[in-house]
Amino acid sequence: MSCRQAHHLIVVLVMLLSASVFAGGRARYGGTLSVTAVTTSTDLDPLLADTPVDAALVGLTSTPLCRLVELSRPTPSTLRLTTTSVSEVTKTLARVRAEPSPYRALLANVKSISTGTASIELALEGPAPALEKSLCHPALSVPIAPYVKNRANARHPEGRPYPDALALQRTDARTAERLLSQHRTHLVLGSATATDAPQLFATYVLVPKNPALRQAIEATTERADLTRFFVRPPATPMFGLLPPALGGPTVAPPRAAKPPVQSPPREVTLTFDKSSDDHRAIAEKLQVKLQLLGFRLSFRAVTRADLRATWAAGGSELMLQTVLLPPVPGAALDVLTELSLQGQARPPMPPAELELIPLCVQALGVSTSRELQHLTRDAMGLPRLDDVFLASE
Amino acid sequence: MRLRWTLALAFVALAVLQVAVVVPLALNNLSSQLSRQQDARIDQVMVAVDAEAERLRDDVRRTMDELAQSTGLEDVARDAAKVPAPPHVTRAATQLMTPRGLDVLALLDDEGRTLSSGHLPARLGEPDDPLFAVTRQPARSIIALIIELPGPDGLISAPAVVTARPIDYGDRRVWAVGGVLLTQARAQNLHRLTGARVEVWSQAALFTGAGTAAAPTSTRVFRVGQAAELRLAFSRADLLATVTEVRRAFLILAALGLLLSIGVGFVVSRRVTRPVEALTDAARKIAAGEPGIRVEAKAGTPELRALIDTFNRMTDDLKLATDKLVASERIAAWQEVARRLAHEIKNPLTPIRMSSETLLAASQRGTLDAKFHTLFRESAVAVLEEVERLKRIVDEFSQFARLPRPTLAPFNLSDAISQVMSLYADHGSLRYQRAIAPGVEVVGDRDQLTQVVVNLVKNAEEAMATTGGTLTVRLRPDATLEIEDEGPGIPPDLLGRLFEPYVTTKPQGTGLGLTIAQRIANEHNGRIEVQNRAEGGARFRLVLPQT
Repeated sequence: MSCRQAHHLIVVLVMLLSASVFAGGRARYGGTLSVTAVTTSTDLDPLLADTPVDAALVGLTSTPLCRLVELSRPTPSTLRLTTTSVSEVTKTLARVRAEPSPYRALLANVKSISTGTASIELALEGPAPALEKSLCHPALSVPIAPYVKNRANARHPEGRPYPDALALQRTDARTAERLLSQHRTHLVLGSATATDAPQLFATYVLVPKNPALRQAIEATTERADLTRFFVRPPATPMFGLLPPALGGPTVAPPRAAKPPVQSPPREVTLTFDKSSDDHRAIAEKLQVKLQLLGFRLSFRAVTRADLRATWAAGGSELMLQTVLLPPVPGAALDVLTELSLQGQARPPMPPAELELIPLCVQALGVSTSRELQHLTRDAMGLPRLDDVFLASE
Repeated sequence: MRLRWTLALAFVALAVLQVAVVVPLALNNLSSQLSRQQDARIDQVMVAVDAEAERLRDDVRRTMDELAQSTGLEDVARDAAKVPAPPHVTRAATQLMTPRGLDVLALLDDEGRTLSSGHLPARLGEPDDPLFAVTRQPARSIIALIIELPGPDGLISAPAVVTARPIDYGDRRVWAVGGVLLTQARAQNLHRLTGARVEVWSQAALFTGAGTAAAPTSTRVFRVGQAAELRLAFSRADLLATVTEVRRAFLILAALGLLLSIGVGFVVSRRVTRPVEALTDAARKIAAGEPGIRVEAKAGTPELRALIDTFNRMTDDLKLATDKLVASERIAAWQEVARRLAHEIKNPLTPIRMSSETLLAASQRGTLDAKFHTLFRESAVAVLEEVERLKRIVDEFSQFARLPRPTLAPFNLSDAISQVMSLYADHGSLRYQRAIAPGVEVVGDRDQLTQVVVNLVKNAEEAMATTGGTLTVRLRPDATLEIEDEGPGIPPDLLGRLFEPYVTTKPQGTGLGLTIAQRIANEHNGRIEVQNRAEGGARFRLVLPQT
């Protein structure tokens, strides 16, 4: 069974189990929560959930690891994960550590994993104080339906109209807006609505070993325009490696000097995620900008999986990458270091300069109908549907 | 080659020449005529293309005029200076372009910076020099240029026709530069209109194309400013098929005509040459000595019939003249024979008469004494000798006159000559030398050729009767017989007419031996040659045809 089929099965199970729990536990007073995602992506691999909507969709079918375990520290350099799903959690940890992805850095401080009957112990290199928060990253999601446990604990007060089923559809932004305005959906994931949620989906250009090209990009990229006109809001320009939400600068530094125009023009290939409209818009903007400096960009639009494979092989001279940064600056820098290394082994000392040019950072835009109540977000700005209920208008 | 075949070939050659000249000329004429017609049709189509291009330009002008008057652009002009640019400014080009059927639309400020770009949104905020240059052109002019578009693999260049319109708001001016691309869809439309394969070339590269045109093609170029050109490839396959079909029909007709010409030529040449051949046969027969030949003048042209009549008259006259000549020659020959006979007979008669008169006178003198007997015997001997001579003369004339026609049959000449020469043996001072090649076969009358050999050997013997010497008989493998003597040779004045009758160098010869030999040789399609040898004597050479 493929990963995608497994996820679909899980969605169905979520709905069935939710219904049965509701039916057995309390009277059916909830109804169906209609969720509309503005995306065409159907790949729900947690390790490839780099865009806000995809990460949110992963959250509908998987449970972040931190919510499946009880964390404790027997020693400062040991993190114990007590869980009833030892096997699934162990598999997730092993996969994240094994597969090449920037999110491997989330477990960079884990020396070894030992599995017990009801717990897993992570031996750490040093105290790794941010590890607990990193375990909430969607990349570390375990393919277990997220709402069963929460519904089953029956902690919700009686009388509230909690939904007893969830219906998900994918569509474009305009249709989603229309559905919302027509009260045909309760929640739109990926709307252009401004939000105060932390913006952690950061987009970078990887420019390995090409100072002239890097200088050209640095000198011509207008992040404010890029954010305002070319990527989907909510978005913020990123003037440093870390986004403002993680303490990154909020003011543009002095513009770098423009390098001399390349003559004859240099051909450069830019690889990006073809499923991302933001990537294409940024690529076209870079193309126009760099053309003025004698760089002729040609595109190589690939699937996200191929983009990850290309990244891991270090096989592109210019590449757009979006990553969901963990909400801790240190862990975020670890992820960026991993991203910059393109699958290579981490050096003992972090590199002095990462081969990344930050462009912008985005969050998940969410629109809700008035009847949807008590929608909260987690530390990465992703919605939590645990406590939502549908109030009558 | 016979005249009939010559004439027939002449007819064929004439027909072939006509076909070779007329058919290519006619086909070339037809081909060029059809080609001109198609060129004319293509010219008409190109006029339609020109009209379509003008219609497109009018559409662009009209659309841009309407756009320039729209409130949307007025709003853009009003808010163009706002920083940051509001979304209705930055997205204006995209929103205004598509509903109006434009492929290209850029809104530029008065410095050429892109306020909004419908065809290349990434150009926002950047200068667009090529499009801004259009604003410097005369008002309402349509300009063809290369613009950049986003492509799946990066920027692509595409030819377009655009025009610029200013939109003023107070003292602020915004330019709208818009138009249409020479896209595959437009090429397809043009293909449907013209039936040609339409290719849009820009910067020496094929940008797009539509339709197909079966080879061979005739290509016309329609220039779209300096930026692009439309290449319309019109198929000439139909024309070629028509020409091929006509050529095939022409060739079939030409072949039939050629066959007809050959047949007619043969018949006509036969009609023409039959009388000529008859005349030729008749002339050949006349030349062979067959008198009184006439040619039937049943067919042929009047000229030929007149020729035959003339020929017949001529042969009649010739026969008459020949008959007269033969008669006179016969008379002359008889006269000659009579003269020769008289001469030959007269010579012996004188001794006979004198002997007889001497005997008669002696008998009238008295007794027949011993002296008379002696005289009688001497006279009788003289008379007998002369009588013998007369007999021999008569025999030779008789032989010459009665020489029969040869009976030809193959036989071994070597054996025949050896057999003849076996009768001769050396005697006195005369010696015989033989060099006879064995197995020489000829066709002839063995007896007559034996007679020739005997005559020639006898002639040589008589030549050496007083001198003696060696008589050589040599038969070569090529059926050439040589008889050499060592006698006095032949006087030069007689060499030319040695074979004429009655020409002889011998006091007792009749001059008929070599004549008979020559006649036999001629009747065997051979000849006898004679020459004096350098070392003395004569050499006779009998040359016979080999089997």
